[in-house]
Amino acid sequence: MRRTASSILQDPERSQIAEQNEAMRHNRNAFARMAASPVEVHGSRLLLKIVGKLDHGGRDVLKPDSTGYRILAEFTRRVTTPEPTELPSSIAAPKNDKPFFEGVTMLDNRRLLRRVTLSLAGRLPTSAELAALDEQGSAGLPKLFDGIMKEDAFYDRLREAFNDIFLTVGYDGGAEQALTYEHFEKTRLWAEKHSLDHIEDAKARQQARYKLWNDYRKAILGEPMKLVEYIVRNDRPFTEIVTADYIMVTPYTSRGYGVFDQLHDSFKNSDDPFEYVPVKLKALVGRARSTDQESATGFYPHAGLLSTFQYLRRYPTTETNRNRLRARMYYLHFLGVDALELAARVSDAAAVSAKFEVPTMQASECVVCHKTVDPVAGMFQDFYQPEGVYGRRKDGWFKDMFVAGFEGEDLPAEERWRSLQWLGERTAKDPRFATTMVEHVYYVLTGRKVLLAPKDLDDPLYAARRRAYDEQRRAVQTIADRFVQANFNLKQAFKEWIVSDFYRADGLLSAVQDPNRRAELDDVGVVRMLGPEQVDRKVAAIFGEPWGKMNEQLAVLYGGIDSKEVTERATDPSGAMGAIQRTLANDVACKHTARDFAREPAERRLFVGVEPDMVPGTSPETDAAIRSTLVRLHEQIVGRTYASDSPEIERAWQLFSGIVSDSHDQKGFDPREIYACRPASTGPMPLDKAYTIRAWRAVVTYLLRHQEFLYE
Amino acid sequence: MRRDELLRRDFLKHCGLAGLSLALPFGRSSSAQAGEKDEPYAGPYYIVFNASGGWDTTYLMDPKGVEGINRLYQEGDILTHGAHKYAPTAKHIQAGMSNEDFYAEFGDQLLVVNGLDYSVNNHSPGARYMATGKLDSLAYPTFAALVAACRGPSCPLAFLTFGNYSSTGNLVAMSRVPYLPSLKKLANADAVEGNERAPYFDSFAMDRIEQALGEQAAAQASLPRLPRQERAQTSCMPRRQIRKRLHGSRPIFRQMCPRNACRNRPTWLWRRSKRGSAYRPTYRSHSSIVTSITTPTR
Repeated sequence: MRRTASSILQDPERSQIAEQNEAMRHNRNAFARMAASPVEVHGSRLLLKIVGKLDHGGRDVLKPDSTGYRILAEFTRRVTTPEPTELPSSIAAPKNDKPFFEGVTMLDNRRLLRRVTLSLAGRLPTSAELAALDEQGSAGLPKLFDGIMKEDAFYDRLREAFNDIFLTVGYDGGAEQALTYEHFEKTRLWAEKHSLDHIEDAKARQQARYKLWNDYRKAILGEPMKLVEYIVRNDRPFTEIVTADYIMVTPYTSRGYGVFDQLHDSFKNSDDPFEYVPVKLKALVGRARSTDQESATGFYPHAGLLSTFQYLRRYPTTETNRNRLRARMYYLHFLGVDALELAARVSDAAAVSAKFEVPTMQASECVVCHKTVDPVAGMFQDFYQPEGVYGRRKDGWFKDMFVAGFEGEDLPAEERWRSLQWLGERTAKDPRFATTMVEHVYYVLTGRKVLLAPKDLDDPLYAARRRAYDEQRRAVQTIADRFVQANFNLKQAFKEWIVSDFYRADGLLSAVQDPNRRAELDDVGVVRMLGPEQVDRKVAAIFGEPWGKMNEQLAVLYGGIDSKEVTERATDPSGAMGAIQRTLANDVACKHTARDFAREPAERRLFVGVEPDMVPGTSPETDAAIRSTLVRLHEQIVGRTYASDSPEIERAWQLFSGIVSDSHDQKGFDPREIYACRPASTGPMPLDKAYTIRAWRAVVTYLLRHQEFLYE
Repeated sequence: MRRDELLRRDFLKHCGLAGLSLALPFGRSSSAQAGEKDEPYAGPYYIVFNASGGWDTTYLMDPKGVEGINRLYQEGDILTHGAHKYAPTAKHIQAGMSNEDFYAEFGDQLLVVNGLDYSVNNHSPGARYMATGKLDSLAYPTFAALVAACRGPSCPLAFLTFGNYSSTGNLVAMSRVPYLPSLKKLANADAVEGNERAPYFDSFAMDRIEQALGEQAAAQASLPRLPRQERAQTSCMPRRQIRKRLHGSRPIFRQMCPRNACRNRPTWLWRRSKRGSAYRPTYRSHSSIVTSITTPTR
């Protein structure tokens, strides 16, 4: 950590290289001065202070036998007697000159394309894409990615993933309450009064009313993430997420804002509840003059996501919290800084409270963070109503807080009416913004956050963990630079990550036993258990329709989130999740096997070259057709291409033929599929006299339980 | 319905209404561990409450009655049960159990620690410090996760968490809401809609599938893999273990988590009182089973 001239706490790990170097130099010099400063005859002031042997406000932070102390002792020795010497082995990091990814195998282009299409577009690669890839090789990848990132399914995934980060659908109360009574009391409940008189039947009319409300609420909840989509889809700079001077509205939500008539001609279909268009709202007019919004332009001072009612309501405030939650989330979401972790430490809170009148402005252990957080909290001061949206505090903004501003720069009084725009403009220029957005993309692609710097110097694997962290930081910074060069086009960040070794890493050339190397590789490789929405989309991509049961309680049990209380996805499967995977495998195979056989051969997805009467061992041609189908099923379901005589296909062959063979030993089995697995409406039900349909179902079940299917 | 069953239901219900979250590490007793015979877990069970948002402990185990701290009672009204002091609430109780009844029934079994000063200057680090004992690292498991990992590493629902800081340190997988109807289906994952009389496969076919999967897993395990791939592979569990252990958990959930309580839970958690939203720089736990934190809600 270091402090700037204006005493703003910053984290050098999050700064650009030049700033990092300057910060390190600053800190190094400060330590050197302290190390060279002796205390009478007792030794270095630095070494004495650090173990609590001097009377000062801090405490002992290192033990004399710790690695940290030994490093400082060596530092002190070098400062006081600066002859170059080898580092003692107790603190020297092991040298490792080999490339970080040496020995790590990477996905080939075809499997990479499959991963990308499934992950971002919820489908398998098309034959045209595969042909283009075969023809052009890696050079063809960017164009293919561009195509994928034009698909609607990509934007479904984008909105879903960014909601995981911003959680804007998770605010309390009804969705329409984001539009406050104070400013929208005449319009926000339009769905209740909207004429449905053309529906004669009362019950049908009531059902239509319910649907109207549901669509309206869903459309309001969707606005913030539609802003994300609009920016990315139209190749606009992603800085607009904090600077956009518009919001996204639909025919339904624009009625709530009272601007539908103004926008009517902007919509292609004014009855579509989910057609979003950008709009700049007028400054809010309250029920009382005192609640009118001040505006120099007459418009609402939009600042991208920051000023949307949904974001403000998702992170509300109170008289005691004073917008500090919002400041924290702002730093976390847009600058990648967890303000609560900036300077976590233990202290005697009672003593601090007794000693200082306003600890957050006077006590150093409090000021260290509040000097950063409180000015940003002040930027939200005009959005202070309990509902979370516009309204000034009755008694004026707090005097016992640092004044509104951003990292040492005070908000000019004449800018107050557009404070969030002022903040957004500075955010967009902050180098931390670009790296944070690149980290968000990493999260979208891998399902986990970037590594945190290891802190425990006494950890024997510290150097290895540090190397892994440094390697990832370099990748983040490199991609962030290219993202900025591409005018903050978020698609660039996606493309850069996708072709990076971090996304392509797929295995090892040889087993690694060395604990240091294992620690370096601990977080390498996507190896992500698909979330409930993703696994359902994967089922749809392969079988033509989603499983359809992965919702609500089951989705949460399978590691999903509700954006309110459960906000972190579970990424490692519990036993219950394993049981859900089993259920899914059984159920999906049950639903699709006999149904596929009931179709005409040309219309089948799974069983193109085989029929229920083809029993293994009856002829070489039959066996070849069965093996060929097994190869295709492996390609479709687990994304692996195996030779027909490979161990994997042989294992599946043994499964299929073994079940058919075993069935002959059963007395009088039913010549039909079990009732639950019979197709409901796809042609006549094929009989299963040879037990092959059930054996094929077993093969599909077996493949659906592969790690390669359940993981990305 | 037995009284203890009733109490557990009410306890959870009221905790939900009060905005509390809890983590339930389910583990195997040492005797069960020794056997490793797929027996349902028999206890003990650990419940860790995190009263995020805070409740006023002066109305339960930390009575004051002075300087206007409490209006319902004065210092002289404070009751005792052995060495315990507690606030009188019987005259004011509208629902649930009064402190008088609570102490009469459970007072002899309680160990109360009224306050631990963690002296942490920040909210989420404070919650983490309290849950894990480590202030400066995100890598350590919570107490609940640690117990679950030690007691029941192979239990399918060893560690249930309902929110708040829940780091597992990669020692044990966390699970979410135990919804009884879902649990029934999951316990019989190889039967249609969880109906044991309607298996998806004849037993000989199911055995073949398990055999093939076992061989496939062994083949995978023999390949050089990244550490993350190894961890993913080890998350698989034999069919029989899952089924029996989930079966074993069901009666517990039935007692502890009434259907409506589980269904409605998401609307309860994180509800904060005005007092709960206060910004306080220190953290204190108020008893061995109850921990109170004041923290901004995310």
